[in-house]
Amino acid sequence: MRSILLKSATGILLAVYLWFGWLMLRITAQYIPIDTDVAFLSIKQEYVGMWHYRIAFFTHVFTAILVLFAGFTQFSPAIRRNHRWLHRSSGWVYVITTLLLAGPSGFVIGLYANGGLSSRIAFCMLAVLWIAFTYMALRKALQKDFLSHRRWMIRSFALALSAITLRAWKWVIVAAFHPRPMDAYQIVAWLGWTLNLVIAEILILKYFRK
Amino acid sequence: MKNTIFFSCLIACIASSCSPGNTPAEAAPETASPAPSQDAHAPADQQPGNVASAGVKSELAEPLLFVGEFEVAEYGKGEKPSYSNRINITIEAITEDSLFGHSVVAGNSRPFKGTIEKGTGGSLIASVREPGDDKYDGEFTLLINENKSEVTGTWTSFSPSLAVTGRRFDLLSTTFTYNPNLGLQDMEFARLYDGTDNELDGEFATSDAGKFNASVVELKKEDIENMYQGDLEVMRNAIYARHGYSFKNRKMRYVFDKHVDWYIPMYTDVTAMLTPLEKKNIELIKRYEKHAAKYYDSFGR
Repeated sequence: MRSILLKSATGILLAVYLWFGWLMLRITAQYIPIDTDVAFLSIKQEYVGMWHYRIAFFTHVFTAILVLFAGFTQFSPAIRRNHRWLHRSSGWVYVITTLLLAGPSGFVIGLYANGGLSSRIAFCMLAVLWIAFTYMALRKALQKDFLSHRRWMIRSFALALSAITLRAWKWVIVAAFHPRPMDAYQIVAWLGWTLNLVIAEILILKYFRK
Repeated sequence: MKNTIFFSCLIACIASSCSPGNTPAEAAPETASPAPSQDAHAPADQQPGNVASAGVKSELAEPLLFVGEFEVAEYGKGEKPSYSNRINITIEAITEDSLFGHSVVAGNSRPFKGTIEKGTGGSLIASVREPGDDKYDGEFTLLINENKSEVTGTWTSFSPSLAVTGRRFDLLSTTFTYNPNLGLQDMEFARLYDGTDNELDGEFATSDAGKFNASVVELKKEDIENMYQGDLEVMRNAIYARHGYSFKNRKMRYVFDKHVDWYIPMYTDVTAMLTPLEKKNIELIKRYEKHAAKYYDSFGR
């Protein structure tokens, strides 16, 4: 009975995750073909003239979505046990993308975030922590300390999920409170990932102590 | 013989002044100048009435402008009536027995002409018709008071299928000059009519809309990035309103009719009159407006 409940819950979770993944894909698709005056960039025109901003932005937009794929494969005990190669391949995609592409590019565009200093600190901090946690997780895996690897990856992925949770919070807050646009943005720049980290730590303490 | 000639001339005169869409002789250059407003930038095609009153010896030294609310007197068969719109009735020329002018209301600028007669106490009563080739054309009955400071009257449409087939008005004499310094001080929270009856989805404007005068201040993104879409829209349209733009679109028309005392509808197109500063601000505001429209309440950024 409990197993059926668990399986259904997992199924629903994966379906929801797939749906959000689809929404994220649609956001990415807006930037094909490459255009410096489309979607989000329409209010970043004072930065698109800088080549480092352009490189960072398009790197982030086109690679960051790859890390979400890991959400399907990495947390499945069955895949870890029976298809180790898949866990490792997806794992490497996640790590390379985060440490070399999505993470650093996120930091750069975070320096120019909307909403002033508060948002900029929030996004840059997010990028630094995400890179740091992912690096720790990689190191632990290479050292074969898989229990630590697991804990660091939970933290890392919690931050990766902020791509979804930030936008979801924005939608909820706007629908509920109708704040001014940058006020909303400043709130979700922090709320989008800090709560994820808190939940991650609670999960670790509860289930992944040993 | 003489009678026949005289009679034919009379018929010809009456026929030519009554037939709709009839444009009399080309405007002589010197009479084409009196603008419905003192705005030197007004393009010639914004002064339809000038064609109607060209070549006419008027007892008026210059056109007279009357502004006020054009209110419902009778509903017709059409849908979505507009209860009241601000109207500008301009009287361009008055002769012995005729009156020439034009009206500007709800994005429509139409000439009219007709007959005039003396009323009580030095007032004038005019019965004028619009050409008839526009579906909103009709005829006015105008009562102009003795010192020409007030015009009251009624209007009836030619077409019964409009949403409003009869209107009344009580207008006061005024003048128009483009003044970029006019602000929106009286702007407070206002629901923006969105064309449906869905209250929940309607946008709104706040006193923020009057925070910056986009006709005199060069806007920076920090000024406007935290403004609601409704405020951005009102702030941008205030630029057009200062030039006397007559809004075809209800959403903005209702805002300026209801909340802005100085607003006078003068022209149906003011793009040629925009200053370089205004154009720059419009471009910037439009960016943030478009962005807000697409992303403010959506999952995407």
